[in-house]
Amino acid sequence: MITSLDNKILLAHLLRRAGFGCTYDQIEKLSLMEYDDVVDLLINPEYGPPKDQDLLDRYFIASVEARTARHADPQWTWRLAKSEKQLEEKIALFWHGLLAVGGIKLDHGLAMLEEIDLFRKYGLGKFETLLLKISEDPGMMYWLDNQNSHKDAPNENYGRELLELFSMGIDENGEGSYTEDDVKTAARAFTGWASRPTPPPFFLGPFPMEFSFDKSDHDNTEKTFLGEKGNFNGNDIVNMIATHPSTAKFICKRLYLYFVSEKEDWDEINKLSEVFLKNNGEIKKVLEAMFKSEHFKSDDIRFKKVKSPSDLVFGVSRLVDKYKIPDLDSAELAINTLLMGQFLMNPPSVEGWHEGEEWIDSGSLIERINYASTEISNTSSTGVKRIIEIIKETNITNSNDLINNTLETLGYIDITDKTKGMIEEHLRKNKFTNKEDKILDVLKLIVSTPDFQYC
Amino acid sequence: MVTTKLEYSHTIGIASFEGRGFMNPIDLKYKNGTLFVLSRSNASNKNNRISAVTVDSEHKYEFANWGEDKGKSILPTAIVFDKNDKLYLSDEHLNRISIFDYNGNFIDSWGEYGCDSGQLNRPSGLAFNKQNELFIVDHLNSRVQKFDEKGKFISSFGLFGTNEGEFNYPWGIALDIEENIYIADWRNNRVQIFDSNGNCVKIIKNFNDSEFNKPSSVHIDNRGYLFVSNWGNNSVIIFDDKQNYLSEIFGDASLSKWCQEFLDVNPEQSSWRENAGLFEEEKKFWKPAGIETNENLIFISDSCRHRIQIYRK
Amino acid sequence: MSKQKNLVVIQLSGGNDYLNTIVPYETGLYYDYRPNMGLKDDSIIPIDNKIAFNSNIDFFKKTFDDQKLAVMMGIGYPEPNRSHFRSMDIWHTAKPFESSSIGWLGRTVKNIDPKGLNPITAVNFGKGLPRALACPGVSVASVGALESYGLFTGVSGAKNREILLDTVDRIYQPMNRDGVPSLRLLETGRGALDGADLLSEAPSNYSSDVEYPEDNPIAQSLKGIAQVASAKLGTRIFYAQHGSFDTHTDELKNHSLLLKQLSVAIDCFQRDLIKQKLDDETVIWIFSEFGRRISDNGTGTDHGSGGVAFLLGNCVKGGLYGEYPNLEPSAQLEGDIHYNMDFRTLYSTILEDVLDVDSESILDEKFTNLSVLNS
Repeated sequence: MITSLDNKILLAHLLRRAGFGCTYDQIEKLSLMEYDDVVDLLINPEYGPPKDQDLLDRYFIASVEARTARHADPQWTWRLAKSEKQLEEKIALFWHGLLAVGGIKLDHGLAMLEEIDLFRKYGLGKFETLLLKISEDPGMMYWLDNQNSHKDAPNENYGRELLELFSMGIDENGEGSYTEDDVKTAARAFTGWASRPTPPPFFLGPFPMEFSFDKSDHDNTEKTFLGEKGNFNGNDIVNMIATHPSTAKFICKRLYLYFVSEKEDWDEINKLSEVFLKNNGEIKKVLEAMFKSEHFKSDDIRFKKVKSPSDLVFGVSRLVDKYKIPDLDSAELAINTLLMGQFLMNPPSVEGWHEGEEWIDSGSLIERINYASTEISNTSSTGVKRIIEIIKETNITNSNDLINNTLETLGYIDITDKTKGMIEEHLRKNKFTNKEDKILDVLKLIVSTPDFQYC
Repeated sequence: MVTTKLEYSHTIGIASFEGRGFMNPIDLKYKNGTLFVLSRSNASNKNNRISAVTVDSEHKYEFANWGEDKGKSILPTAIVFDKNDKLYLSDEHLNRISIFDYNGNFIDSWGEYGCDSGQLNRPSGLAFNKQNELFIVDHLNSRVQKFDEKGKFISSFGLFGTNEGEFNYPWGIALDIEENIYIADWRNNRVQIFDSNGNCVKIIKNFNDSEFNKPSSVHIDNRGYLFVSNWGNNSVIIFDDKQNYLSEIFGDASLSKWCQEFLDVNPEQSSWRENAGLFEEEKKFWKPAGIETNENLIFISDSCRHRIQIYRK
Repeated sequence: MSKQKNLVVIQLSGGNDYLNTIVPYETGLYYDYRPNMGLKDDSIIPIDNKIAFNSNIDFFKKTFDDQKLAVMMGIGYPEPNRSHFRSMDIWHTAKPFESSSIGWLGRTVKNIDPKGLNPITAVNFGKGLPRALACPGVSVASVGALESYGLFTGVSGAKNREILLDTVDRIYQPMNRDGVPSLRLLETGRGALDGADLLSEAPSNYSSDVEYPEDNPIAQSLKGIAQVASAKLGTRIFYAQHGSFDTHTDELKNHSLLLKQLSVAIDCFQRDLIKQKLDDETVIWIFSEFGRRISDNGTGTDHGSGGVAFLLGNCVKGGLYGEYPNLEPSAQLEGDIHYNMDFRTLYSTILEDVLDVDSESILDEKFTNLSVLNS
């Protein structure tokens, strides 16, 4: 039987991983539910536009006809910072990094927003559906050169990345459970799949991209793929790889690395791939098993994963509850993740971002500390006012209490005793004119610690 | 019933970050032979401005560019001329009204954030009455406020809600010859008509068996005809002076002079365009916003296509 | 042995108009293609009987006469791309045929300081890191303004900032053997704090009677570079940006202003370098992602290909390098000038003769050295 405090600690952990985190009051409310019920709630979001979609469009008209990724920012960052369906956004960010389409070539904000929405809609469902939808995504077809893939001259780019980076994967030696011939076959099966040409955006703004299938440019002959013979098209290829055991392993490994830990634990990953296979590749079933496992809740996992720039920026903006209605500041949120090394809707390559410790270099660490310390001490934000109020309400007799209470108020976060000792010393050494200034210093220091870079 | 088909004239504009062209034009006013076009732009590119152009695609000058200083703007929403040819600009980020002369020289500004009488929370549509009093749609305060030309508060009406006389994120405003006040009650999907004392006298929710979808802007021409930008459905709807439905248009744009010049010097862009062949798509409005008329012409700011589509009356 | 040299990069963002920077004033075609913005008379300073400097870069003319300015004519890369994004990426990664996320100068920093001992081997002036300097495991400081550089810049009150910094400084002590926070993260934090200290102190030890204009952003960036360079902190690469040169409209006005600012800024900087006794060891390299269309569009020019780059400094062998591209229609590339110098030949020269780095290890290919620097 878990005590209610433990439940809150675990819920805060769950929400940081399956989303971007919660305020103290939100955790209080959620803690009226059982942990497993919260998981069920998270994995079953109801797809649809946010209720303030019209406001985003009205205030940021340039994001409606988003010509570049930066123009599209106000749309996605609002949902990253505000959506109550946290896992829907988190899984969209996951697929955005795995099925990556980069702005280097496709700098088309409209297409990127369409794609992010595709990830929201299909990202928790059957992997086969998702893979088929992304294969019909005009941005993806353009990005991986499939519009240059013709019946008599197939371009292998999409066929290769589909097998290597999007589904079956390769091992440390660069070997996959498919052959070079399978790559060629996949490329042939996808001939004729392309994006329709659109006018350039420089005079009338962009036009939405559309998928097109040119039957006359499709290789309609017999092929051999993964040892089977048939007149396969793209759908057949997707069908054959989507629930392949290698795919199960590869996708579950990536889900594990993203949601659980950067250290591969193959016992856990194998358990997840069994769930994947048993449920025809339904992603939400894998996540359910993952989030409900004792492994996920253990001390080995909690606060051991480096926050991505999005985890940090949207985590803090949710914590300080800054935005009520889209404004200039919310529209510019993405500049913060960009300065920390994550250019949303423009992953650096088809491999997406390198997660984990690679996020942090001295430049990005300075950005992280400056962003977090500025926001957490901005007393005009609703959330900051509330944090100070909660801490003031509790009975505090010494610095240790103050620090512990603050950590709880910020979402039951852990820092090492050593770090805690330094903050205590800070409070001892310096004089504060009032209690609020003291609380604000604790807040600023906590979000500046190396410990806070983990979730 | 009068003619139901408007005759298309021509289009001016091209997407541009500065100088000749527009960037998300959301409002416009015609004065003494010159069209003043308000470009909204976006948060990161900061290309908002007011451009003075002629109906024949001559770019004359621009002003009120991005910035917080006097004479600048961050998130501009609307422009209007008073009877002395002074141009008033509303800014919903700065909660400020800025005043310029006809040549774009800054004169004065006023306005402060808040919900008390005279304070503003995201001002949008602007209109003057014959006494040179300024009406401001103070949209997050769900009210219309009346000021004198110096910014002194006179009166206000409206509150948040969906009932008669109430507002839900209202946007555009226009006055007819009898000084009735027309408000695009945006999120309530309706146009409300008030008498000059702020009493609701009529509500229009439907036209030709359809319903409005987020109407953003209203305009009355010298015949009393009512034009409504049906923003959510990318169309413009025209009513006669008795608010009888006349027609709905979806855009007929041809290439503007500036676009044609661009394609001439950039032949590969021109061939991409030919290759795409989306000529019908190119004609359509995408988020039509402010509407203006003069003696002969109707100007519609086509905000997501960076142009003004022009029709004959 | 000659002194170690340092590189100052000035990126002209947005696509600098080559034809109106180095003007082919004796070519009738130039005026045919530029009816609205062909430069002549007072707007140009002839170099020879064919080409001229835009008169706004008069300081360039002076250094050219002093034989300290090398002009790289018609520089570019194969298969030009007219998107700012992609074109700048190509310049930044030195990879014209593939997309890469690793910058050529980032790789260079790794080569110069493989263990990452100096967190300020490269310093970027401006918000956000240009991809040229991006490389996993390489720290580059990005500085807005030196005086306010570092942590807690958004926190109000100098006193508060000071005591917070003091505590954070003690928190980031790399003494964790293993576990969380990791040693690597703590070391990164240490590097960030040390780098910030060094950089923010640089202005206090600097003195100069050169007055950089306040309203000239590139001059202010170069002033920051002079301050850091004079502190001799081991910085080898300085990066600054100037722009926007994306002159689709109002080019005559905007381009002139930008070039004037650049010329004045470099004038100040060169004088300052002499005072700081850094003039022999500093090489300035100026480039843009592409040039612009040969034809004007009425009030400006659109994206083109091929352009001009400059190397400037005491150790530079001044002169014209390469040929001015031919404007004949038959010699054009889709309405643009044909590039005739691969940008990577310049890179390899900079790597070998300025930064003392094996160019092939950075560019993955060997290019001919342009022999533009005195050894």
